[in-house]
Amino acid sequence: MSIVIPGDHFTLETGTEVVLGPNLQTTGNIANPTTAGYLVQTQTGSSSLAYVEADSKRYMPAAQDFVVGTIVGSFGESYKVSLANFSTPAVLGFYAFPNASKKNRPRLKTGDLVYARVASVDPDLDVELECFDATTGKEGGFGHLEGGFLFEVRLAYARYLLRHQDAPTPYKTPSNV
Amino acid sequence: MVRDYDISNNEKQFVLTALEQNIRLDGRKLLQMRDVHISVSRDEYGYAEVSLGKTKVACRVTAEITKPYEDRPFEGIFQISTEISPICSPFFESGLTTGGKQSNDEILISRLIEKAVRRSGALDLESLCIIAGSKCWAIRADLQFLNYDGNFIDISSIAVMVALLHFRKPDMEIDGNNVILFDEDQRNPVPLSILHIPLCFTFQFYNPNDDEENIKGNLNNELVLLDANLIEERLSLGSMTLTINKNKELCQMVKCGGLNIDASMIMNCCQHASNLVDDLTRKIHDVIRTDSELRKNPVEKELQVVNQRET
Repeated sequence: MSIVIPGDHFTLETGTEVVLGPNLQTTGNIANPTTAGYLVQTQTGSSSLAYVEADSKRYMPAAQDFVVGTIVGSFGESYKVSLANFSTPAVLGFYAFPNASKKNRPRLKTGDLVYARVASVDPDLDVELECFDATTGKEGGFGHLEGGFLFEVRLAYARYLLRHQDAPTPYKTPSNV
Repeated sequence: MVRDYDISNNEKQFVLTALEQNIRLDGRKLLQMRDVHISVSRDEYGYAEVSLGKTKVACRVTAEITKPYEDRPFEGIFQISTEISPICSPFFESGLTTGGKQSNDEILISRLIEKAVRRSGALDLESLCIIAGSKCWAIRADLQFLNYDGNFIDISSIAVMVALLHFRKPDMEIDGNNVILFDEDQRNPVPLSILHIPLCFTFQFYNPNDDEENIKGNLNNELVLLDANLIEERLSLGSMTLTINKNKELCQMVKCGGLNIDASMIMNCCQHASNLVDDLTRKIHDVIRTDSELRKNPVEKELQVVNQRET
């Protein structure tokens, strides 16, 4: 692990497929960190993963993040989902659920909690969420959360919990990443 | 547009179910207050910081000499400024972005503090008069809200009162139409004349039954809660603020709409507030007393007098 700051750039190994995590941008095979933090590069099988581990107060959605959001309304064919208080809501399509069709789709109310995955992040568009596993198209644990309580934790802690399977927690609960 | 906190149904349900079982998120009982931490400035007069859990407020009191109001020549001027900036929470928008328009919560908080402290006559305005009709002290209390976790009203009343008690204005002498002010080194500054210490207690109400039971029924099992934190305050169906001093005088009672509450329940709230006010008043006096004792340094005072004679 090394500390990187915005303005640094380093080349990613070509040859293998590199999955980019939060806080990294690429131009060709040059990666630029978008924030200051620890650079983490891990190799699993044929693909490798690179991301910058940083703590910040405000959550900035990044593609493939697992998030818990509150439904704050719906418009057209999608729900508006708040990922953090006082920030722009993300969009969750009515059909972004496994096996959803016009007749058969989850009916969510304002105030309901959903566990979802960030599907796409574009600075010019709304953040899009999906409630199914990207590889299998199955449920994968996503969807409407019932009962329980939502705990707000620090971003760094939430990321730590998600990335470490053996993280010491009293209860394994999805946290507001 | 003012945006509210997005509180999910899960959180709402959890909090309300817990309240029905007489437990709150932070482990308190329904009518228990959070611990009040009061700190005052050691090097200057009239600065207090009060925190109630995560809610934090700072208050500074300043004084200047001005002309009294035409219609009140024998009275000084006392103003409380309560502008809530987005520093404490994005829930409160800055006056710059809203064009100086305050949100309803903000207006309510400002007015309640104003009524509780200024209009209950906590500060003796007549003692601020220097020369009738031409010179008087204008006392100004500036509240800064540093962090929001519910219950701004109660904490503000504590902060203003502590800052007023902590404040000292320069000693002075009147020579005909001239006013001579003395430096801190020449004469000890004098405290303000505070007639009583009004403190606010805000109760929040919740309805475990349906609305019909609340209006028509006589079960009276609405839940009452003191010193709500952020989530409890956002979920509450009505609130009531009581302002009371340690002589058990009720200075103000405000209940702006919300849930219908039985008179006997309101009496219970008053009783509870009057039990709490003693402890809180004692705590405030303790802080002020410790501060004035720390300031006393007999040797240093002696030396200052010697220095002055030499010049």
